[in-house]
Amino acid sequence: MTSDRNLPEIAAVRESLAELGHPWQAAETRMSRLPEEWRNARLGVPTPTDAEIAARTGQPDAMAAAAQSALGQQVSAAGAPGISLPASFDLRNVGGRNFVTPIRDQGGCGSCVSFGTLASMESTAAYTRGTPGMNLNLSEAHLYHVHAKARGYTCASGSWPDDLYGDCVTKGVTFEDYFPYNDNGSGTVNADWPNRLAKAVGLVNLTGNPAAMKQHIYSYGAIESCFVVYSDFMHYKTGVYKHTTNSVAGGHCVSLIGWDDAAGCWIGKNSWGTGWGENGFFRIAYGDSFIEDYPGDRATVFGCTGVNLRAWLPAQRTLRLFATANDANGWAYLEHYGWTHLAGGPNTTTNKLAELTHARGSGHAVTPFINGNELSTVQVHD
Amino acid sequence: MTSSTSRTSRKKTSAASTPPIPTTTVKADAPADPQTNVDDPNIAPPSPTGAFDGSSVSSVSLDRDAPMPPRLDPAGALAAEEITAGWVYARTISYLYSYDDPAGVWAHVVGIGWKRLSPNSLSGHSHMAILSTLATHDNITVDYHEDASGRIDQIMV
Repeated sequence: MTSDRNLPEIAAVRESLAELGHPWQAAETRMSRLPEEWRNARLGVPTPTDAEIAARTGQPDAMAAAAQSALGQQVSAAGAPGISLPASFDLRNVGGRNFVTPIRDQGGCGSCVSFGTLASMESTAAYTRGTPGMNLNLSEAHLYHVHAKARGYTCASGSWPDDLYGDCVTKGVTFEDYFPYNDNGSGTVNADWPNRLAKAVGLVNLTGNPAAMKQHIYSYGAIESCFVVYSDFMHYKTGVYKHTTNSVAGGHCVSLIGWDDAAGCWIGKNSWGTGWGENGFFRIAYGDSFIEDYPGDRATVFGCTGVNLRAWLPAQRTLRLFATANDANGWAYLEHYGWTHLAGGPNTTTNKLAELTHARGSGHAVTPFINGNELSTVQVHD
Repeated sequence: MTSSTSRTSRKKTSAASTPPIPTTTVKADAPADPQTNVDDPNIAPPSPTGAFDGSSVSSVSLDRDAPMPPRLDPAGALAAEEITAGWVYARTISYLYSYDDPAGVWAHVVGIGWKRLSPNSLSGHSHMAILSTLATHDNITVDYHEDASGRIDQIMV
């Protein structure tokens, strides 16, 4: 039920949408119900100045044209599902497989950069291995309440993605179960976190290049992006978002998981729970809200080409084994991880292959310890 | 048939009333590691070692020049685009042959004939022999790649 306080606000947005031909629908969302200061607390990218926004006149149209012209562009990455960019792509449905982790909720903290960054990494980890069942869940609390805090960032200050994605490359982020997220920053990270760790590799700056953004999503998985939030965005329910007001609420960071040229939009994954937007997801018009290049001097669109792990993973089946005539070149294909090289040299490869052949033949599960994409240790179950 | 025989054998072992208790004898020529006591048969195996500062998340022992495995779908099946020249798919190995040579294993591929496992490296030869043994024992089909001499130099089970 819409509260009295929000009725005029949503009605005004609907009037504007009617003038635009109803590109999207406004309704009461869980964000609509919050007081303005609580809504804005979730906008964790420093707000651009009026001058910075004014300096970007013409950018939205240029970005929209560049996004549309990328159609059919050749794709060279070996892991991409095709050789040219398609008219539409959605990581939630790549040949029936979903490479997007569930919607999270950042609560009342300006930690959206942490959520956008880790949503990108979780998607890339699964997509680059072709294993939708990986279901990696990384700790936004570790990235924000430890790494970002060390840089001086707070819930109120917000942060920048180049800093936080950079920390994911150099320091790494532990798993959610080692530091569950609370928006008030409570709790501590498990002291064993260096042994339950994910690190981003191949960090790429995609700012201001819609074709490169599409190439990256298609080749390596979700990317993170920042955009200017106008006040009507809080009431977004469904459709292709275009701002209907020039009232700037702040800056926000999300992950982008696909696009649709026919509708002229990016597909985004937000961190405001499933009670906002299209069950937590949204579509935003190419160029709108400066989503390809946030006003100001800093780069704000990033992706990574891989995610390395150092962690015990859940017990799973060994589906295939691979060996070659080369010295110490044994591999195992684990059900929810994909191919992993057997680490440690010729003798340990022999040992592991002997154990894994039993698991492969019997169907018994194995519990793997992965270190930098290599199978460091394995426990074979009976 | 052979796989069911193996499972039956294992169940018989587990059904024994009292499994033997491991002895604590440590061979004199294999002193225990003071850090991990890895030779003590009564303790759990050691945890993975390595730097604990998070800096060890990297691939360190992978030979970048060695062949990589083909792409598979999540069910472990070969992706359609990975069908390439030099590979032979879904074959059964009916016999194995080993003679008195460190790299002397041959595999008999049904419908094709005898194929020698490449002697390019001793460890690689042994690893391919292990996988060939699994394929033969459990009646699992294999995909393999031949080198220019017609020898098996890559195998996937």
